[in-house]
Amino acid sequence: MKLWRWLWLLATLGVLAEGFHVALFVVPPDAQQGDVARVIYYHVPSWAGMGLFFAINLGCSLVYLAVRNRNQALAIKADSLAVASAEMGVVFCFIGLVTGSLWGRAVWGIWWTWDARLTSTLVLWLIYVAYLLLRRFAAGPQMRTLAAVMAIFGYLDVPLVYMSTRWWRTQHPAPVFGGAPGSGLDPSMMPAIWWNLAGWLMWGIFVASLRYVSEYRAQKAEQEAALRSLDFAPGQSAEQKLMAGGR
Amino acid sequence: MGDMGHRHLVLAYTATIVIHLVYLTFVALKYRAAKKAAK
Repeated sequence: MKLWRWLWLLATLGVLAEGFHVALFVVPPDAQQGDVARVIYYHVPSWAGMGLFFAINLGCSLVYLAVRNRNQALAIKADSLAVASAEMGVVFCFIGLVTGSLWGRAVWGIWWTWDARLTSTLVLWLIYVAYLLLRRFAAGPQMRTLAAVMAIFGYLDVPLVYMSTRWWRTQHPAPVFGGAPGSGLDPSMMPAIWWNLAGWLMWGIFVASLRYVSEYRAQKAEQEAALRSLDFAPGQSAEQKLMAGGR
Repeated sequence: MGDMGHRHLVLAYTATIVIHLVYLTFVALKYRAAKKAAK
């Protein structure tokens, strides 16, 4: 692993440790819910991570579709980053669902309810799990094109999840961030949000960058093996091969 | 809610860390396999 990755990991662990300390021992408990409301300091960064990585997945899928027939090198990079970001987004989304369920059980007395926010988020998670399953059990360039299209349609659920608590007033509380006037956390609680937000996003970037490297190497090796089987030199196009007399 | 609240807070933090570590293990294994294959 390269030096900058070790330094990034070290900085990430430092920020996460500070975030953990501030969340549990520095900021005051919530006036109504008490200590259980501290779940928000891990719950909110999970949603932020999910939003970031699914947005990266969308961007990479669009790039892949745009360049797949013109620039193979860029297409492989975009597709590898799409896989890495989708997996990271699924992990963050799953953690958001689990921490939300644990928090809901303590505050509402129920593990789960089919309210607009929870249901749309579960559907989003299932869409991206299906995306990863498609990538796992199919192969070839058509699979990659299909996966990229699926990612674009899947992302349509993200704004729906975000707006669900604004459009429908069901079990989930009204938006805390960016909600109606007077909403939001007490300023004394914000340091715990910022530390954990920074820490978990840094963690996500670290893990996704490792995943990107392994996926990129695998796709590159797969492409080179395919070219070798067709007797192409690495980087040689069909036109170049014809010009060289089929060699 | 007191005891259950504390228990669920601990569970939420533990679950977050454990899930991230499980995924990190998967990624690290993939990374090592790709590095070995490249050699």
